[in-house]
Amino acid sequence: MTIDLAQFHDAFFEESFEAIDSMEAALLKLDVGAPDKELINTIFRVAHSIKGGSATFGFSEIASFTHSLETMLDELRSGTMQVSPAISDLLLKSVDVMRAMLRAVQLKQPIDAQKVSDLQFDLELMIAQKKTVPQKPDSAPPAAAAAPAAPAAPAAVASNAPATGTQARAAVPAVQPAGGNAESAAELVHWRIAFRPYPELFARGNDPLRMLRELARLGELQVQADLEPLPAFAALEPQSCYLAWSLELHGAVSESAIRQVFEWAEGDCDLQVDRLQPVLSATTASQPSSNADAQAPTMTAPPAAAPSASVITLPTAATASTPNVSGAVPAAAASAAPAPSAVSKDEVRTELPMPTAPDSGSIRVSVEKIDELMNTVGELVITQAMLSQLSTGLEGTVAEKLRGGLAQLERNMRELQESVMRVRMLPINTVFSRFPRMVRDLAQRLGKQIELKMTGEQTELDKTVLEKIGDPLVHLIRNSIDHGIESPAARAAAGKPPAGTVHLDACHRGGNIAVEVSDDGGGLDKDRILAKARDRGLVGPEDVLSDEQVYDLIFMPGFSTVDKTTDVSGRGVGMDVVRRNVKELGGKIELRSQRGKGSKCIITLPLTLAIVDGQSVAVGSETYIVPLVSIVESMQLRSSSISRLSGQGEVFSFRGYYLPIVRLYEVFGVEPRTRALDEGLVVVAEGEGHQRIGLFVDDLLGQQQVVIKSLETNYGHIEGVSGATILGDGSVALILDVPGLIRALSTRAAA
Amino acid sequence: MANTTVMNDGAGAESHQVLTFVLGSETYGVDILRVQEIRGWSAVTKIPHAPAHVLGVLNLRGSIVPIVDLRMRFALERAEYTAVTVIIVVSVMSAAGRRDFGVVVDGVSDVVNVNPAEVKAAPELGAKGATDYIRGLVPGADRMIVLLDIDRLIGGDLTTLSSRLASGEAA
Amino acid sequence: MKKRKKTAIAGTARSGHAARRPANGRPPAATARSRAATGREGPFTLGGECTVSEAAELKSRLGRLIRVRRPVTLDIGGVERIDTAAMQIIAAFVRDRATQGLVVQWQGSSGALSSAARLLGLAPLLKLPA
Repeated sequence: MTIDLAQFHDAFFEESFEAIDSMEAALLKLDVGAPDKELINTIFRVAHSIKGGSATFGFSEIASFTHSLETMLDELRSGTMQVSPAISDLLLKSVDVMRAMLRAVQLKQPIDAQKVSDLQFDLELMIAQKKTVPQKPDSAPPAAAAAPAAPAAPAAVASNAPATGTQARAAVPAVQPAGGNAESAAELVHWRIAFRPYPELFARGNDPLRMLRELARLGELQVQADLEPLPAFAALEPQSCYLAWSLELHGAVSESAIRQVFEWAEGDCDLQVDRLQPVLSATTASQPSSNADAQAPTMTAPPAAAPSASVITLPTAATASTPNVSGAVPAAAASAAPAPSAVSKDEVRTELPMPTAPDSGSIRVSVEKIDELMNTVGELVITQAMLSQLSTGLEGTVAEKLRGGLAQLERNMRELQESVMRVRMLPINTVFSRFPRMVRDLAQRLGKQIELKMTGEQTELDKTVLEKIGDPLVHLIRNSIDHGIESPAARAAAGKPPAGTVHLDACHRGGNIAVEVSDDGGGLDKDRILAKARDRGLVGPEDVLSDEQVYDLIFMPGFSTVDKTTDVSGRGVGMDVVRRNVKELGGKIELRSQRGKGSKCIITLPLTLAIVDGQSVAVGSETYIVPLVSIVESMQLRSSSISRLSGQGEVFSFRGYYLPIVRLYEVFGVEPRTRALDEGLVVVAEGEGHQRIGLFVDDLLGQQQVVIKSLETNYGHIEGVSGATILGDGSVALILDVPGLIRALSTRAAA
Repeated sequence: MANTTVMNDGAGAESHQVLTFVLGSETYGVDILRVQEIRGWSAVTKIPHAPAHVLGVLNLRGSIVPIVDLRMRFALERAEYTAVTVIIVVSVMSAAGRRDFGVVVDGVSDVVNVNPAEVKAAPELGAKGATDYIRGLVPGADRMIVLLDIDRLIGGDLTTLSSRLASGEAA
Repeated sequence: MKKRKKTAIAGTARSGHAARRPANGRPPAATARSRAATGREGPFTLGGECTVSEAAELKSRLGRLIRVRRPVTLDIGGVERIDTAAMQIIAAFVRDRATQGLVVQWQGSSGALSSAARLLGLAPLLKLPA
């Protein structure tokens, strides 16, 4: 290979992790009794492409392991092996091992070789055992026919004792030069290959030169380059592939061997392989007809390709005109909750998982590029605001027209900004997809029957939010399964179906996204929570609490109502962390429950972290932004409502509570316009839980949406400040982090 | 700027270019490849509890850049910020990666070619390590240039910054 | 005072060149030696690694020679690795010059480049010396 492959590693890892996720999802849908063939095909394709990729990049351990896995999948696909619970488990374990290996390689850490080889041994043992078990006589020929897709491997493993499986495998990774063993090696075939790469082929780490070189090894190769698409030198994009080739290959080569050469470019080219008149040698058996050959490639081709068609046209090309940006988003924004998919042991919906690698009609763009774009758009917004400000001072008809134009510009800017924001949006499915496996494992471990329902998986939200919402959801689902859903016996006694349901739902609600985790378990025991809280002195013995207040106790640090701790949850950490995470994302969490019927957790999150609705406040010559989500109310204090508590500083009464007054100029060390509390204003702000403070500022300036910029890029973290933004006049304003500020102040008070 | 040195193609392959600037009566130089931009003074936004020589942050084409007053960093007498006060935006390499900082100086003077052979080591001024950030001294025709190692000068104390309110009024 | 352009000094400052070098540490597709030579007489030297990551640079350097009336000589002696992206640029360069009746000559030989030309079906166009 002549390309520096390292630059494509990231893309490989990213795609592989996604591929493994979809493989896992497909495995979970696999029915033990009567597996869906298409599902097995999907799983096989994923394994196959990971194998190809890791071989290309020289990750031989992964390639080797995946090869064994692929071999087993091939057996399942051809029907020589049946999907048993043991095999299903083995495959799931393989998914874990592959994921771990990829992660290790990505982080340049050593692979857990023992674990890998143990599992690989198990896989091979399983294959070998099946092979030695006497088979129905009619099942033998299909096995041979299925072999070409994974050349020689099944045969090699089968003919060797399991212990020597590793040795047998060592010979495999090289492309089988003259077709598989199962094919007639003696047949000389004349192939005509039309290879037409898409422009982005190079960018995906593929080099036609490498493929042509491999082809030349298979037989006698004649190459005709098509220079027609090559533009004039000046117009040429250096990283785009323009050339196309007509090739003729002469030799004892199977079609699958040819296609294997191009497999890593699958999705990035049009490939047509035609067989010209076969030249039969004397020893040839007639049995490997072109028909049989033609069917093999469908295993590696996307499902859309009909078995006999040789042209692999990729979905990317067909739908390229409707890129993700404009097409997919509005639909998702409409909060459509398409086809609720349920995953359980009893119910198998064979909703076909998306073939992973060629994600139809989308392109892969690095986050940095999008951030850059966002930055530029943010700049434009500021410039536009500046121009609008300037134009207000002008008079005359021209000024009128100018203002009209600027108003138009402002509308366009807003649309542009929204479009760019949407580019960062991904369906929440990327988070949801890991739960079926988790639920399955948990249910198994706890001896419960759980059905996981997921709806609204296509709801889109900002990638940053997406990355941070996973852990809180894991906590909530674990809680539901561990504490919510009762044992099958208890459920039967309560007249419920033995299988409990955990329902995960996402939808857009106003400018927010709501994610709900609900279960039909026992619900929260209010009395027990209250008793526990009184026990710990969190609640006074005489206090009367509303339902809401009682449920709120669960979010207190260290609060757990479960008497015995399990390794699943119930160590008293969890809900407080969940709430903190949600708060950090600028969201809130609510709990609802009905005794005996179940409980529901509703998380409301902003769609994006890049923008915040803020209130500008003035302190001296500085402007600060207080996020609206943190503001309860703003007011002017009368000196009569202010009192001093010893050791507590100043407080004022607000809705029956005394709240501490925080003089912002003091906290941030700036010179204020006024120090007199009745001359300035107080912003009542709320942090975690119902912790409230009164922020004393000089004045309120106005409300606006601001683009959040990181201070940590060039400086560092500032306590009580979540970031900065650029105001209309180009100056910088700090954005307050109210929960952080309250935390910092209480630490200081305690110290 | 006055008397800009002619960019001499014949300069030895070893020479590199240095942007020089004035601070009080001294002339300092930084590697020109680290210089992102030179801009005039504008009001900064204060950062709570930052070290005294960090004046605040500025908007530099969309990113938020901290501004350091070199006079205060060198414990020189503080000068007024006027229309001719200049901010040199430099890239600092640190363990945390590349960071951009603005450095307030009295004025920018020149771009000069410096031949490493002419660079003299800085004298050891006691064991205080206060001259860590001096890469060397270059004798010039009229005055000496102090070559700065900005990674040490700024990187050392500022790239791991974070302000804690809990630490009180440290600034 | 405006921002000083780093590129203006890259030709003389060694550190400037180093800063432009790709992170992998390999020399760029065209070496500094060729840069000095391209404007006047003497061959254009192709670097040892002519790959997609250097393709843009290769293109911009060759682009300066595309309209040069006198014969242009490409020194390929140092090419150790070359991929389709680089070959494609060279092919476009040779073809565009040929259509205007302008000559491209070769100096030195490179197994990597010859074999790539053969495998990619570009040998008839490039007319490399045997």
